[in-house]
Amino acid sequence: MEIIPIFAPHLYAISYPKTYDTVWNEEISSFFEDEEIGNVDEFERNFELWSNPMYLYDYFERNQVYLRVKFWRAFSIEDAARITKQKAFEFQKLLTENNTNIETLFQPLDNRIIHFTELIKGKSKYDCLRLYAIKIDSNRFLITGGAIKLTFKMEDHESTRDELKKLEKTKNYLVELGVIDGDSFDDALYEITL
Amino acid sequence: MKANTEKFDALVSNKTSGWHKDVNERITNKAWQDKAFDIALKVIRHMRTNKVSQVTLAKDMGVTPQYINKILQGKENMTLETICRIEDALKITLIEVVFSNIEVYVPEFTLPAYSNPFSAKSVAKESFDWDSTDYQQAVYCQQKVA
Repeated sequence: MEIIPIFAPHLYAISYPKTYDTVWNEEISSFFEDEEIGNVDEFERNFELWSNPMYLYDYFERNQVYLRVKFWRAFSIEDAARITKQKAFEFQKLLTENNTNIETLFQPLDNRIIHFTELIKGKSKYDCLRLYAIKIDSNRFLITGGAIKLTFKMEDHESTRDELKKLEKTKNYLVELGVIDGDSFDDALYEITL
Repeated sequence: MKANTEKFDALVSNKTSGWHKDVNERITNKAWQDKAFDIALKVIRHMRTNKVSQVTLAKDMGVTPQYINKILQGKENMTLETICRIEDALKITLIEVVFSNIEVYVPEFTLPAYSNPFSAKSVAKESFDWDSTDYQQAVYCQQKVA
């Protein structure tokens, strides 16, 4: 595992080894060049996937049942893919323009349901993208992964369950190397809603 | 949770994230990449519905399956020739030029009553100036309006 700077000293992302198949399974690996597998960090990897029509078509085809719920307003696979891509694009621009004030973009993961509900009421209904991170210090975050969130609880969908595994894996890595002590770890978990 | 930021800094790699290059490319190439994305979605939908494999499409188009894969991932800035070859191979329409928003300027012009050029049996057709600018303009405008 490697920590890659995105906007140092504020934003970093983990790069998982190619042997970690929660990240580099056969399907995901097929969207990357051989030399990228195991070398691309989570920030780059997610934005790459969120702009890939084939990945998004497959993802929403597999999860078509979730598109029928109110949140997605019965979008077609193509609509869901196009909205996801556009959201991801807008967010990248926002991040580029506000890369020194990262703290304002994150919210505690522990309160995810409350925040998610508020967002549905107050903001765009299509905010389905998530980046997950561990807060290292004030205005300093380490991205551990990302997902297209389709269910309220992370535990209720395979892709967000994988993200919980990745948060745990990164935590263990940081504890092992003495970067964090692991106490009250849940308070250090954050997400960005895109 | 307490973090040792010095230890964290020591772990940070010297590598640069490829995201920076990617995002600049996405911003610069957004116009054609958006269209390539939409074309890819339509091709994927058609291929799935009609059970056409990437290998079959590649064979029909005379290209490699790797090239098809690149198109389906929205990474290829296709020429019109390539788009037409996909349309031909799959028997679908991918792009169309929209004319409906073009405004046609129709000048006010009334043909002389005695020489309606659209009537082959016009009584005065022998004496009518068929090469006149007025006549050519009237024909052009009527065709456009039609």
